[in-house]
Amino acid sequence: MKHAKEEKRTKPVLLVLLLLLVALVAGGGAALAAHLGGGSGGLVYEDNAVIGSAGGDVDVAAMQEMVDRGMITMSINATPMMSLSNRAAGVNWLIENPEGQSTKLIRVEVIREDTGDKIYETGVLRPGTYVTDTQPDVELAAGQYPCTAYFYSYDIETEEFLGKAGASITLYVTE
Amino acid sequence: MKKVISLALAMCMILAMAVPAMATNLTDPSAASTTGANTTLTGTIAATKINVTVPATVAFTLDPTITASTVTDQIIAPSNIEIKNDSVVPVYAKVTAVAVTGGVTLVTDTASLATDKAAMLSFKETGEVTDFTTAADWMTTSVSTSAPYALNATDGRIEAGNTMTMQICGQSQQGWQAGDTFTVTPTVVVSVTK
Repeated sequence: MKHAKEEKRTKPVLLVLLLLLVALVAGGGAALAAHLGGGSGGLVYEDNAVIGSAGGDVDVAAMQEMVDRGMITMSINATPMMSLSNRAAGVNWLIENPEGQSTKLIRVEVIREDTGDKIYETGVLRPGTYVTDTQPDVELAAGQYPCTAYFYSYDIETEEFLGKAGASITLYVTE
Repeated sequence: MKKVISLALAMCMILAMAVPAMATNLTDPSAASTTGANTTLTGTIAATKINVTVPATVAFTLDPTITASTVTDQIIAPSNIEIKNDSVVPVYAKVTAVAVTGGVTLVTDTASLATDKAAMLSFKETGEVTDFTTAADWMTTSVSTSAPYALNATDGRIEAGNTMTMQICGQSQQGWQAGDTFTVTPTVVVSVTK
């Protein structure tokens, strides 16, 4: 007898819960349909739409990476010297590709500022190496020669050219 | 009492210093010079090395559809563009050549921006360029070794061990299509003198 009474009370509650469930499923389905395929007004929505702002996202990190990759460390004697009486001793250029520049190769061209003539050129320097006490590629009389040493850098793996920068130096040639 | 002791100590020091001089007077200086060995002090001047890290490539985005109320409104660029002086002396950094591609013409005043792909662009120490009115702030392709483009108001001076943070400013107005690219390649040269 007690069992039958409880059953009578439970039935309306179950009915309400069932109706709520049906309503939820129907609402969710409509929302999903509106989102994926079409809205309640029958418009067809784009399946390939991407969430976000098109064309407005600039990849600053990629630009920074490009800047970092193009950095050149220049290391050279600002006042190299050579004595004509001991020409074989060469010029103390002290041109260096520092070890810290581990991803780049460099080579250097020394250009006279007054004539634009190239007076010296190194081969490619690996990181952690330097060149000094080598003779210029041309004959020079005693005097002072303001020059620009241009450093060219290349990717150590691909040998792709990365960039160029310069250092002003004065070469002193004595008797 | 302390003052007295100090004075006494000071006098002792003076006396102690004076003793060798008194002793010298007892010998013949000329004899000492003829028998003593000459000492040659050979000094070697260490080479002044330039040791500087500079950017050879700078990437940025310019949006000519934005009205340039300030010098950076149209520009998006990395914030970490630096010239680092690891030398033991100050250096002067300057631009001695500028090359452009993509049909860009570099101009130095806003009136000249009415031409297609004309652009005002600067590459200077952060904060140096504040408006579009100073022609010398803007790069042109006519810069050269004898007429360089200074990177700051002190001829690009960077103290030993210091870093100069660079900034790109500028604007352009017309002649562009979305996706156009161009390059501006300034050659940075450093020296130990102005």
